[in-house]
Amino acid sequence: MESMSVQAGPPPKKTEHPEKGRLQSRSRFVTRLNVMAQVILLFVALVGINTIIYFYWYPERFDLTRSNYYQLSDKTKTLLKSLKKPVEIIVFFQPHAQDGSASKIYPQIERLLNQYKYVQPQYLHIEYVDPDRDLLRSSQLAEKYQVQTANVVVFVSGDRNKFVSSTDLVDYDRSNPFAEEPRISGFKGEQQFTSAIQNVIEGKPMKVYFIQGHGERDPDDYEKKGASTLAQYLRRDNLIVERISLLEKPEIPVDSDLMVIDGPSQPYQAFELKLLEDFFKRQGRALIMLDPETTIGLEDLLKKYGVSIGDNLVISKVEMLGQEMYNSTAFGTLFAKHPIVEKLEGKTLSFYFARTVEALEDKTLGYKVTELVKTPEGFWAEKALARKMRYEFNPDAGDKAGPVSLAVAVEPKTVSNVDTEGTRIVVTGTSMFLENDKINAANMDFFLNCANWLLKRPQLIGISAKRPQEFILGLNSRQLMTIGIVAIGVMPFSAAILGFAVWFRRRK
Amino acid sequence: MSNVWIIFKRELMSFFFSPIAYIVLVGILLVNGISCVILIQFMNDQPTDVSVFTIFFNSFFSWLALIVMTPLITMKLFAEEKKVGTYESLMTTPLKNGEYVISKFLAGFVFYIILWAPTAVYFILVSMFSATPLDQAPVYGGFIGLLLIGLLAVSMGCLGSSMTTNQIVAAVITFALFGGLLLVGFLPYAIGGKLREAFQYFSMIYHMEELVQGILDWRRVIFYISGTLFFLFLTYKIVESRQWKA
Repeated sequence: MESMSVQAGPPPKKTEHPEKGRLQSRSRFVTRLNVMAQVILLFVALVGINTIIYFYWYPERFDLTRSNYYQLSDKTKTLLKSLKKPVEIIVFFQPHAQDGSASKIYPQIERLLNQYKYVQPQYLHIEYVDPDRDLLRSSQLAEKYQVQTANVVVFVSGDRNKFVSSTDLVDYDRSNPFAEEPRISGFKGEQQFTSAIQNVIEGKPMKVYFIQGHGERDPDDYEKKGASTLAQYLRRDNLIVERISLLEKPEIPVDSDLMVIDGPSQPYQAFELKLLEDFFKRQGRALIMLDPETTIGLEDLLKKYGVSIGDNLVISKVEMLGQEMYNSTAFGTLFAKHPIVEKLEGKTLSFYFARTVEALEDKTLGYKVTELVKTPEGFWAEKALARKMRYEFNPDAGDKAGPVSLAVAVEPKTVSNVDTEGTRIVVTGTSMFLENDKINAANMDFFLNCANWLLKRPQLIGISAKRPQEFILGLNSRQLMTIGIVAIGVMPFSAAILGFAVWFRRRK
Repeated sequence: MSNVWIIFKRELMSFFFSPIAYIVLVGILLVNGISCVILIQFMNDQPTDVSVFTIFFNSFFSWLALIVMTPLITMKLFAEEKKVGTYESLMTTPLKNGEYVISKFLAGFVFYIILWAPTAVYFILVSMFSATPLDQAPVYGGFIGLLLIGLLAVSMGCLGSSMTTNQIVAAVITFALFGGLLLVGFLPYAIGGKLREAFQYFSMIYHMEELVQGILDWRRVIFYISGTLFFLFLTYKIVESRQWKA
């Protein structure tokens, strides 16, 4: 019994232990819960921060490249920041295609659109669809937007859309006939995408009329001397390009946003000049390109706007292989401070067969005339237009020394009571520089800048094609050998020796 | 702060006395050296639209070096002390758990930098010999990428090492964590649609691709720092748990 009673009443120490154990176990459980809660809380906080960043924080990215290769132009940034409604961008591309340029330019497209997204994260929605992999989405999009072929980027805003195909995005260098495929010499993504966004957000498309009937270039002429390239670029910028003959229908349409007079060779009739003068008076915009050795009657009208058209030819003397020769391609290298040319600094415009176009010194006129581009000093304006074997600069004969002006821009002076406020005219001393076979990147930039300034669409000025980055190592065999010996031999071997020395010393 | 410095110094020096560190160093130098020489040979003859360094940093060899070296250098950070019991004696000192974790992490990270630093020699040599001045953006971007990825990888290694007393198990945990995140990084290249952008946010391969082109995005920096903080916090909690578990 005694022993039983001893057994029945547990010793005091033994009763404390389970209690303590229970407390400890409970305390551990609470601590565990506490730790888990802390971990979950931190996890949620970090996920939350990253989610907010993912959706809403698009800070400006650093471009580490020496040439700021990935920087967007100010024009693109301005346009993107001014967006007020959503723009959907659907990249309908085959990034893994084995042939063609699509797979080559895809990374550039992605990189560029990422840059766009960082400028306008709110209204820009980008979707990448690979037609080879995402069949369902592809067929939906093909049906919705009538996409016939792959490798296009579709821009959609409201009920308007615009397609940019892969072929519009690159310039090719086909100078090497032995190359398997032509080399990409320029990526025009920014120019094309910005235009496309402009295109889909703009209201009513603007109209550009090319006057015909006096030997002017035809916007639908695809031959070498035609102006189809200009028209193509204007159409791509959401502009409607049409031809007009004042001789057939003597009126300038009221919906004309810009008149282009592209290299007429025959004089205009008096009533046509009157129509043009009336057009200018009612805030008309015109781009006038006049070649040397022509008199078309516009010269006097332009004087009223402060523009003097020279009866001359801009030339320079060059020495080639010991012989004196004359260069009739005037290079435009000196640029004024003006929105049309401010971004062209450092480039050279080639004005083939040009005459001077200068600002008149008449302060009574209500217009501000800016001489946009001038030749270097080596050029002069030759008054004697007859074909000669030798030309000499002769100021007494009326020759004008360089730098001479090749183009001017006319706009109203900033005076409130000028009745023709809004009139804008650009006059150039040649039209050949924009012919299909002569137009180059700099000349095209100049033309597009003129058109956008005249149409008061400054956001598209100054975006030119980007040359792809090029990396050349050009190491000789000895240098290659040195790198090989250092990289595969000296460096790993030195590390091994060091390790062995440490191991050996420690062992001792 | 002085505690952090003492532990950091001791831990860093211990790497230099460890044969495994030299094996890792020789391995990395060999793999990267071969990769670099092959790329230079291949891209030497004609102009290319990408730099040799752009490819080098995002090549299979670089990722191989990263995924193998990180577990190897971090596996002993906590596991070794746990096994031999020196951790318990450290607990009797005024050293705080946070200081202990930070100093170990910093030692691992600095050693990680030391292992990658010799690769700069390749770029110095190529820049010296190249016929045209090379744009260094891919090199800067590549090293920034290595630093950011290193922060995350070493913090994962700290977690792996703190979870066990067995160094091999620690290395396997780190390998699995890092390898898992690396695999997720391939998803943006395999899928389209809206999810693609979301996966790009986690993709180390995509981040490196951006950096080696010369684009530095602050969002990536935040991602790596927050990931590092999370894994270090987990490590801290595991280290701390020894006190209340005992």
